[in-house]
Amino acid sequence: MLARCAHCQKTFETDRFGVQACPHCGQQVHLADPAAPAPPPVPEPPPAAPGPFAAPPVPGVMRPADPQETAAPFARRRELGFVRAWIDTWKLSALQPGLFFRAVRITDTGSALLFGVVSLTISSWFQTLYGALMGAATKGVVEQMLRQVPRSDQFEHAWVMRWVSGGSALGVVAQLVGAPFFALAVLLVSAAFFHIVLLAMRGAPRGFDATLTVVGYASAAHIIGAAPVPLLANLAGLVWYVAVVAIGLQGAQRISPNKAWTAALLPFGLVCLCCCGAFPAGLFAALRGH
Amino acid sequence: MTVVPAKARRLGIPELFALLAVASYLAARFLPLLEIPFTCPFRAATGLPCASCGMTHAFVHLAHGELLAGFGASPLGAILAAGAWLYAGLDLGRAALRLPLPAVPEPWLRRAALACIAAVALNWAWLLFRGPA
Repeated sequence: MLARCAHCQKTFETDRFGVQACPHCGQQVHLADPAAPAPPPVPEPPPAAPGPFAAPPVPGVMRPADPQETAAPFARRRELGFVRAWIDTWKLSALQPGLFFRAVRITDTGSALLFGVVSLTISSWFQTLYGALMGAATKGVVEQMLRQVPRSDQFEHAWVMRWVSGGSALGVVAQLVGAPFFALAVLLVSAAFFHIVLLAMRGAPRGFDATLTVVGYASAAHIIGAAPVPLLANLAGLVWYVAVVAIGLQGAQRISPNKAWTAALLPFGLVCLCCCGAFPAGLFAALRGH
Repeated sequence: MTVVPAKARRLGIPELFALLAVASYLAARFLPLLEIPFTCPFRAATGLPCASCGMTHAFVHLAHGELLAGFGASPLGAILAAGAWLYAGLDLGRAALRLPLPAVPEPWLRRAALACIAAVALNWAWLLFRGPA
């Protein structure tokens, strides 16, 4: 079969699944077997060296562990170096989510969370700085867009306009400093939302650690939001993130695509209904001829 | 050789959730959240409250001990705030005493998840029935 290396993007022939070295660059490549059956429940081996974020063991709870699972490059950042480990993990998570999340070890939740915080923080910092630099120009564009929405007068002087126009210097500094903490909160709360939907559908056989691992590493997709394209970069990053979360939940939780996509889309449907409802509502009103 | 104490204190995911709940209490209690000029886009566009409308008011009222006002703003928000802060107290107490995390059986978790989804739907229905606050 033909495999593609996540590091050098070159293809090579191989006859087996699992972790193996790329013949071009020598990097380790995860090749998960898509036809492999769900792993049998076996006791999880004790972690070699629990980090400061290691979750305490839960008595009486056994999670199925895949013997083929390997640590994500970011979990080996001390060995690989922080930047290289982050970039390698970004490539795997954002470009090969199916292979990556099926093979990644789900007990390294601390690393997944840290990866997500770093990714979201970088994205947030770029957005804040762009917002501060290009606030006036963006404000004009958004004002024009909001005029198309019914009851658009409600948005005047509202948070949308303040947000896109950048705000004060103190506000920018506060956003930069608060970004990592906000990112941590976003990751934990969004993982909880996804997991609630998964639990309701009996779609969380491998527990909250698997969901949190997916949410953390899937945050790689938010980096596209750092691109200097107002609104569209965020939207593209969000769509990419939802897709990676759905594919990741399917692989990490060993569930069907239907359950994974439902779990990924339902919370976003609610959030979009609340936060982006103005635009569908405007479209609906326009279609009705208002 | 490194000797690790049997009951070494760790910062796990449950404790991070507890700290998040503590942060929400401190923000609701001490920050002027209700003075932030936020307009819910869904409400602005449709005139109807969204499923999470009133949550911030509920957290802020509850943090100031105004129970009725909190429940009036959003019953789910008030229950969520009370539950989160109760959980934070219990979990941080458990961590301080170095007690093990109680295991919750999968069927109970599933029922709790279904109850959460039903609560969101009921809360939204109530907000729509009640009309603008």
